[in-house]
Formats: sequence, structure tokens, C-alpha cells
Amino acid sequence: MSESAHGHPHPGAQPGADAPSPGIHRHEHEHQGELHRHPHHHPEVRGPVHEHAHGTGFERLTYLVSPLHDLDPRAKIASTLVLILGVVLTPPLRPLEFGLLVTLLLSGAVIARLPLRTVLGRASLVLPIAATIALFAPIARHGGSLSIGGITGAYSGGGWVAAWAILSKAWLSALAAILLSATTPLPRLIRGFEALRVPDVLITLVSFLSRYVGVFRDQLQALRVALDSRAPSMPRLRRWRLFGQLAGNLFVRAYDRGERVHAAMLSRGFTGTLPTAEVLRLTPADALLIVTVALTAAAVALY
Amino acid sequence: MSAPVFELAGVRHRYPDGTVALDGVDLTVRVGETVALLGPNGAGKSTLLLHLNGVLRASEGAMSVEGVPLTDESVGRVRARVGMVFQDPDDQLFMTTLYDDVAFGPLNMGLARDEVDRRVHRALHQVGLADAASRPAQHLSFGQRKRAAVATVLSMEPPVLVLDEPTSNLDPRARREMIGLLRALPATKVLATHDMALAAELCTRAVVIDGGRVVADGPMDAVMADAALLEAHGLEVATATIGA
Repeated sequence: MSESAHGHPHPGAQPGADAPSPGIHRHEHEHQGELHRHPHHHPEVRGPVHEHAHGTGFERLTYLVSPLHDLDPRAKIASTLVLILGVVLTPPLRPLEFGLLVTLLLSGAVIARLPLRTVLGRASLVLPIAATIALFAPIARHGGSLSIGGITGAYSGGGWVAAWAILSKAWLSALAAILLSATTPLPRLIRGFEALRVPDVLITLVSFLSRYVGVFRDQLQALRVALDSRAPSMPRLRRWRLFGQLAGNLFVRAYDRGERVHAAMLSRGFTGTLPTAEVLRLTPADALLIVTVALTAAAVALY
Repeated sequence: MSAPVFELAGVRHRYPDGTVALDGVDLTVRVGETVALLGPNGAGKSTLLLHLNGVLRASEGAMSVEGVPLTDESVGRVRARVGMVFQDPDDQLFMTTLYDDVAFGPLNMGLARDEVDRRVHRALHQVGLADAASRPAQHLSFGQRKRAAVATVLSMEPPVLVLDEPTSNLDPRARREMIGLLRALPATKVLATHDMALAAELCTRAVVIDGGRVVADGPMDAVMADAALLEAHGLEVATATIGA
């Protein structure tokens, strides 16, 4: 995973400024024109600049400073789910409704200082998958049986409306989910789901997935390089067959790692739940977000 | 003579597949010692280390930690007293941020949040990674991850440290940093290593195991001087540093 290291002035090091309090403290710094904020832990300030690094790419967006980033993850998760529920439950969206929802979500992205092109691009990744499903709607409309004639035939109108409903709803839901994941750092997001009583097993699963997916990707890459080094001119078909064996190999390694990680967890007193240190607090702004989004979702669903 | 930390008598360990990894180990480690556990690959070093905090249990034989026999009742306390650092830091760093990883042990010990926070700070400063607290482990370099793995255990403030290959795969500078870090820690230490120079530099006592048995146990100087012994067990004398 890529990262960037950079130094920035520490507010506590400036004469007259408040010294940073020990413990977690957040302060803002500018990085390539973007204002970032995330927790720091350095009670002893060693100079005017301190070095730190963080992820680049999509993950970088979660460190931006905005009112939306500041909200409690629970409020954002609840709002996102309510909005998606409203969108899913409504009859096929009229252009005005669709426009209203897009405006709402994109204003969110603007408030969060997210690059719109990235947000729209990510949301559109859902379209090819949704389109495959959506295509069945007009095909299935032709007299109750699957027929390609449904695309252009006499009964195709209703089918196309259903297809539009599937596509627009999938895209709006993806847009809402991306707004959530781009404004909430993953540890905070997981913490939010945990506080919303999502079962420990799922929380542990998601935490470990986010931690180890990179490790396994590196291992797979190493296996592929080893294969290429010893069989540079292997026919494509045989290569694909070998990938099955690579997957098996990777599974065994994952199993072994699971045992070692479990031993490491036991060694530090693991009792069944992952303890996290961050405490969440709901503010009036969080309540406002939930109420606003709930009303919007209800209006869209019921109107 | 100081009080014993680990007392092993005739410890055997048989894995479920029938492999006998430990074949009657007798070993006593005392408070304040720094013991190097030497031996070829597959000698049983890692298996022995996993016995020291009760992750693995002896199939036969007796073992006690700080005078208390290792049982299901005492194992929780033993794990808080014996800090275990694994060879692969990716096994040790399993949480989503470094802070959460270092806080994992203290939180499981049931400490209050401000005490946890204080300990995480101290541990991260000890290993020089305070600035990286909010980062996920995958954003740390390998050398940083090795030191972070030590911090996850230091935050539990254990009087005994058990380390598996603390310098493996480190570049010379990261290795030097690790040696400096370990030297500064006052805890009783048992470390398994192939890094003979590290053993010679840090440890006062060497225990050589091979085939699941202790084949030599004595002052570091004496073991290092016994070229025939080292040769017989797949080890070699620490090569003299050029110019030293």
C-alpha cells in the first residue's frame, strides 16, 4: 500500500501556542493543498516539525477536515442505511426525485471537500453489475417469458422503467455508501458498527480483512513472480489452471497465519472481543444529520 | 542467586501429527538474566518459546513460572507477566491502527483508559514510533513493524520478555536499532536467534537446543568458544566485526 511521509509545523511548538495535551490529540495540517486531521500521539515535541505519514489514494480522503468528517460514525452509518432504505422502497424514481437525491449527496461531497470526479467515478463502478441485472427487466416483460423481444417490443415500456429503477437506485445507494466511506477513516467506521451492536464476529472479521488483505495480496504477488521466474513461456491455459494451486497454497498460508495470530492474541490476554480505545460521542450535529436524512428518505419513499 | 522465572523439568511436547518437538527439556531461567536460545532450524526453539507463556502446554513434564505451576488457572496471570514477541510482526500487529495494537494487551488486562493511554505513549516512545500511532500496520516499514511488535508487549509492562528472532530480516541499521532497544530494556529476556553476533552482544548465557533437547547450557563466552559444539549443531562462531 502506498503512503507519503511529510513533515509539518506542530502548533504546540510555536511560541505562545498551547502545548499539545498528552494523549490523543488532533490537529490540522496542510498537505499538497489539502487540509488533513487525524489523531497524533506525541506528548514530547522534539522540534518545530514532526514527521508522519498516511495512506494515499482513496484512504487519504478520510483524513480531510470537514463538518462531515467530524460527525459521529454511528450517525453517518445510520443516515446512510436510512437513505438507502428510502431509495430502495420508493417506486421508480421520477426525474425530480432523482435530481433532488443527487443534489443532496453531491452537496454532501462538496461540504466534505471530496473531489467530485473520484466520488462519481467510484459510484459508477456499480453500474456494470447493476446493468446486467437491469437488462433482465425488459427481457422478462415480454409476455412473462424471457425474450430478447422485450427490449424493443410492444410491452417494453414497463420493462425499461424497471431497468431505470434498478440502475438509478443502485447508483444512488453506491453514492451514499461512498460518501460514508470517504468521510470516515476505516478504524472509526468499524468502531461505529461495533457501537451499533453489530455482532463481534462480524466486527472481528472486517477488522482482520482490512488488516490482512494487503498481506495476502503481497503473498499472491510473490507466488506469481515465483511462477513467472520458473515458467516464463507457459501457455495461458496451463497458467490459469495453476492459479487454482496458488489459491490452495494461499489458503494453507492463511490458515497457518490464522493460528499464529491467534497465538499472538492469546499471549496478550485475548478473551473474545477486540478492545478499541476510541470513545464516540453523539453531538447535536449528528442528531440533525439523522433527522434530515430520515425525513428526506421518508419523503422520497412515500411521495 | 536470584529467584527463578522459568523452571522446566523434563518438558516434552508432541504435536497432534506425532512430531516430538521437545524431548525432555530441563531449563531454569533466573530474574535479570538475558538468555540466548540457539539451535538449528527445527530444533524446537519456537515450540519452547510458546511454552514459556502457556500458549502451548507440555505433553509431559512440569513447568512453573515465577514459582507458580502453569495451569489453566494461572495461565492468564502468566501471560500478563511474560511478554511474547513473535518473529513475524504481521502476526503480532492484527488491529486496524498501531495505537489499538499497542493498547490491546493493557485493555485486555482491564486497565482504565487513561492508564492505557499513558502506557501506549510510553511504549511507542520507547520504540520511537509515537508519531505513527494512528497508522495501520501495513503503512509501516518492516523495521518499524518489528519495533512496533515489541511495543505491543512493552505496554503490558511485563517483567519478562520472550522474543523469537528479534533481528531476522532487518537491514543493518534497523538491526542496530533493535539491539539498542533490547539492551535498554531492564526485563529478564529469553531470545531465540540465529544472529550469533546479537547473542554475543546482548546475552550473558547461551542455551543450545537440538532435536528437542538442551545440548549445551552455559556462559555465553564458554559456549561461543566451543567451536566443535557449535559446528555439531549447525551454528557458527560470531564472525569478528571488521576493525573491532
